[in-house]
Amino acid sequence: MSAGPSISGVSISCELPCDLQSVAPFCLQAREFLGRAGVSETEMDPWELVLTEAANNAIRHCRPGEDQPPIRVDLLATAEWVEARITDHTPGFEWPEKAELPPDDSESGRGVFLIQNLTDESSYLLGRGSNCLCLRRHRSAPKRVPAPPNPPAEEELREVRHTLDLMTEELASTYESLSAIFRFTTELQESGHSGGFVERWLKQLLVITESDWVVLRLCDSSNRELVVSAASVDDWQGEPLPLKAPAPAHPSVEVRAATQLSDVWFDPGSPLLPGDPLTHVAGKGCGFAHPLLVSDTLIGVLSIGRHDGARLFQSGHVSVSQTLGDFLGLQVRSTQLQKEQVRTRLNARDLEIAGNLQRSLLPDQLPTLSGADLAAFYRSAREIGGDYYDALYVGEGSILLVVADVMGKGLPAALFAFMFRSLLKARRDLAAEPGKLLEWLNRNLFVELDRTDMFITAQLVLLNCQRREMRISSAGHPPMILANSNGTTRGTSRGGPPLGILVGAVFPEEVHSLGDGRALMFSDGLIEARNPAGDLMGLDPVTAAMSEAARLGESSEATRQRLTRLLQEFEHSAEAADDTAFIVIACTRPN
Amino acid sequence: MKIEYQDKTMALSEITELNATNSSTLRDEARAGLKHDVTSLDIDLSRTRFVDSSGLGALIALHKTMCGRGGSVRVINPTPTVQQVLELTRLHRVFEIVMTP
Repeated sequence: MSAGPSISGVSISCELPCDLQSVAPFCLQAREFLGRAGVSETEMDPWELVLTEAANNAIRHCRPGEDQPPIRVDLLATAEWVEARITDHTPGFEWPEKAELPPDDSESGRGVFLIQNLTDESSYLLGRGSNCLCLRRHRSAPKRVPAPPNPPAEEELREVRHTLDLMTEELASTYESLSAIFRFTTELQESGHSGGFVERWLKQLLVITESDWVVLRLCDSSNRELVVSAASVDDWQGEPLPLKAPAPAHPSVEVRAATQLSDVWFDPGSPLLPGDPLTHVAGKGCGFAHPLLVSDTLIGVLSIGRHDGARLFQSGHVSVSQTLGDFLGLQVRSTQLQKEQVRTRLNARDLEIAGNLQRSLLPDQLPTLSGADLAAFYRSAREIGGDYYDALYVGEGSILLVVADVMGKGLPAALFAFMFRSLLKARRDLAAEPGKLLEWLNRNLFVELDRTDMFITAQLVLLNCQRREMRISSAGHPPMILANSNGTTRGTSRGGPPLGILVGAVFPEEVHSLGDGRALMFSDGLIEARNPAGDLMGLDPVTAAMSEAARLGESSEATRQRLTRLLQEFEHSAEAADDTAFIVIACTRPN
Repeated sequence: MKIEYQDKTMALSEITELNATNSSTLRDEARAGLKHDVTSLDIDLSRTRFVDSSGLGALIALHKTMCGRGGSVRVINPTPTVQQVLELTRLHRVFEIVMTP
């Protein structure tokens, strides 16, 4: 075992033979190291468990009966976090995005779950010949004098803030890459050639992935050679690499990626072989070569890396590199072939993920309460949107209804809808004053929204069936439609600005009595629906439908169906351009 | 590990660790010690400083064995560290956890 100071903390490295008996003594040494690094006893227990699970897992994946290279464990402790890297030389194993617990009667299958739940970040990087499990856990703040009992939501809020920080980080890079894709694609279509586009694209990629160098090789027209198309290194023109010639005994990393059609990794543990052309740019650093495929056909290889071999790539940066690399390949190909259609396929996975996230936001069913009956409708325009509705119990006889619309679509919109919901749920104790709750949401979302030039319109309605009233507050959201049982209708006020526009914004509240009419909360997708001729539906047909519903004393479900029919008949064959969400409130006399 | 009997209860105690190297032995020895009239198994974890996922597997195996003979398993006085692991993996819903003074 060797230990010593590292760049910004203390570190230790050791090697474990592929034998389960070696794990416990190692963990005791690791505890000693963590103790010297000032890690508290209570934080050591989770680390001991995490390291045990990780080492056991690596050892169990060793091929039996073979002379196995040892498992290497590197531990690094800084003032803010502790990081462990467990390098194995096994064929590798599946690392789930989020491990689930097995059934209660299962005798195995909890190791990865424990690791993921006891660390803040975890990723498993598969390489050829060696794989690395990277784990990181933030250190808790030094102990302070115990504070007086927490306000009810504080702990939950802390968790939400932490999740938010992680998501914002992720979102910032995703959003950047999405806007870069949009910008460059537009430029490419306008200019019609791919020359400067590729260079600017690669620069963007370096920034997003915090890498030091990148090399793009494309197949020549006969698919016989990989030719350098662009590189971030000046004054370097790598020789073409033959693909079809008899394979050399020790092919270069790029050729291996091109022939295996899979990523090939290198780092100081499994360095580039002498003579590999990438040695010129990579030195002794780390990185990987990623084959660029279009419809299973190789069109090139993108290699990317860092000079510091210890700064291994985190999974987030790897997936951004792969996604952007694939996208770049696709753009180059589509320019070559003038085929626009090819482009969409690569985004399918991102769209699918965001779509799942978006759907998971919506409540399975609306709560029921005496005095009001509720029905909701949601439709997403394409795979993903930023509309969100919810109904939360907030006390006896009270429900907080929410309709919100995040500007834009895609992953950023879905993530902001998710953030909005998490914050809202954390502070349902503020629901008695929806205006104050909006102010709080605005303050807490402002920085992230402002940074990404986005905003959210939202409407909160506190439905109190005991007092027979609705307390309404809006942030730039379309006014509600209130309809009396005699058929007259009126709108509510517009309220304050959308969230994310003005940091100290105030959101007025208005109170309406429940009566025995009908009320409608909706997102703008409802009144901005278009027919095949391109005309907007507007507010009038919706108001008329609500008036009729109130006059007839329809159930909320019947009104929901009435509005759905209205929408379908108006749009006819036109494709919906925006998401649509609405909640119908049918006020009834309590039993 | 120590095995004791009282009425129809078998009690396991003096377990310092439950990990990948010793949990199958513990499981097998406990099963071998189950006399035919034992209907309750108490596992004393008051001196257990560490349990990993293999250890949890052994506890579940014993739980299944006991359920198979119409009996039950109780976990007695787990240390805070072990209790946290049981809660994190939601096995506190499976075992009855008993804290005695």
